[in-house]
Amino acid sequence: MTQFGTVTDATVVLGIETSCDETAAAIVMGGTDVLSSVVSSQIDIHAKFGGVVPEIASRAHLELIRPVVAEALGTAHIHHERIDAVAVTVGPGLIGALLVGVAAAKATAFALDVPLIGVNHLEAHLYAALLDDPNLEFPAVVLLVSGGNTLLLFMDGPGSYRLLGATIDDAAGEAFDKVARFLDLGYPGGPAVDLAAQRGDPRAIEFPRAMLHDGLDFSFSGLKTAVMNHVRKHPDVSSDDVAAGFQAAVVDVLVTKLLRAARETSARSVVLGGGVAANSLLRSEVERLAAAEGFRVALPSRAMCTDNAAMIAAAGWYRLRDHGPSQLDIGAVPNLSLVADTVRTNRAASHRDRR
Amino acid sequence: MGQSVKLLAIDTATEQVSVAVGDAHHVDAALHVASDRRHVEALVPAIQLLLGNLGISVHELSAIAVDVGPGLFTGMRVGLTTAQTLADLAEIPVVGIDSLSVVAHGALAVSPVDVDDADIVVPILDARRSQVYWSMHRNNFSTTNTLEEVRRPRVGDVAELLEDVMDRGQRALIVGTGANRYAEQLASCPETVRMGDRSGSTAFPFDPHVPHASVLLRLAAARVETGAVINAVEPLYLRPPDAEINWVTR
Ligand SMILES: [Zn+2]
Repeated sequence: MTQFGTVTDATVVLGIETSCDETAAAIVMGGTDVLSSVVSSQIDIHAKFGGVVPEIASRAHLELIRPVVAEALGTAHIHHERIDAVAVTVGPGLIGALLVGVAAAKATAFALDVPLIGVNHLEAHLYAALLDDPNLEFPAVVLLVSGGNTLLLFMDGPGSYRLLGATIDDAAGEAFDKVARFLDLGYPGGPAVDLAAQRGDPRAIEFPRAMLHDGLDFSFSGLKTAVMNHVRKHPDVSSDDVAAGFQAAVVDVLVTKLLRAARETSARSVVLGGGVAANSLLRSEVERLAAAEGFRVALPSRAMCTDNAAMIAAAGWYRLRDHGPSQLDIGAVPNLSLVADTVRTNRAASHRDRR
Repeated sequence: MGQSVKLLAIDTATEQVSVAVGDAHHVDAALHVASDRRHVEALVPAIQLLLGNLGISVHELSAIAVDVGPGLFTGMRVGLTTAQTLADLAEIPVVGIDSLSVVAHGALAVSPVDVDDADIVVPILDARRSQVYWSMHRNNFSTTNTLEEVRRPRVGDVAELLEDVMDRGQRALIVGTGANRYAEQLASCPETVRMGDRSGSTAFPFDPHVPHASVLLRLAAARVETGAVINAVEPLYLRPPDAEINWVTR
């Protein structure tokens, strides 16, 4: 059994993730060495509803958790006796979905007599880039963009970060989903808009860039409304052009603010995370513009951008090393925020530094 | 009594959480938490406390028993996931028992009514949205010391339940949270008689209208002793999922 304080490069963490519509398990050694990462997506099950149906997702997690964990162990050629700690997403996410993963993680930690580590799903996204590039240079500015979040964070190193900016209304991924649904492009919205945009002309329609020169916060609800108004006024407009114009506006705002934040904080690297980080225009623009200004660029692979359990295990390894295990009576927290968690994390860190 | 099987029973199919350790004849330890739906918070610490006090580990158990519902979906899933995971890691069987059977058998212990062989026992659990879950059991108490299920668990409104009871034309001994919630409507049927209301009973210190792990333990242990065990359990939802859309995406 690994005790708090003896977390090493050989420490094997089982990660479990069930916060939304992906049942995932992974085995990660030493916080960065991914021995296996299994993701079972329920996209097909939810596609006909055009969104994630919580009760359907929860039922699927219950069916999938056992085979997914077994596959993660099998692929890593690890017997369960070799697991040193169990990390699990405790929030944010759908309560019924989270509960399946938390129950499985607790039972595993208890039966194997190893530490349990509750992990913030958003914080875990920050570790995805580290998994792909363990030599990532800090300080870094991280743009975390998903269906539920649009956040700009300054990261000194693993486990130490502060919020620079966030969306004041819709998340970027939410805007992608709503526009995809409005244009009938399919589900999930991110890849659907990305594909249509590649066929369209991004300069055909000029959509507004809200708050482009105004701080590090974001707003996307006005853009979504502008798209809808344009299509209502011009019913014959090409959906591909609308998708391209919309995507160009979102990416322009995201990249502009990411680079401004990097400049203002004298960061060495810029990092992308979250499901929207798989967007092809966002990736190419960040790569092009950040390189031009001399920032190192960390673009996690698509598999690491989207929800997975390797990032949960990695975040768990750092959390165990720096803050110790969670209690067995923890619950799932559907609206767990990164900021509140960050405050706690940073307070604990500064306390330790003073000793 | 010789080498007996030792089971851990987990019941989280309603708002309450209960766990028990023992065999078909004895409850070595039991714990009940009126959890207010904090199933995932309460369950593993409760198991840890019980096993710790008995000085045994999960690996010394011969099987895990779990209430598979029908009941509260989130609670059922916490119980099923926990039971299945513990059983897999300890490499022991897992036994699923439905919540209505647990309520029916629990009620026998505290019933103020003498259960006659001609009666049927009807456990009824509140399913919300003006519906109830129920099943029917024939009394085999005189011969086999148990109840025999004659109607599989089902879901429906109270009118359907009453129709089902009338169709059988037997005295129906009703018990469970559904029997309480719809007491007035159910009393309109001349065949129904309430069970489980012996106040101040010391024989069974728990609410007899809610499934409890100590009863589940006894039913599951009897099944293990006859060798009828399996290695995977499935939930008994009885209702399709709500296709209520929540626009959450990754
Ligand atoms: Zn995510």
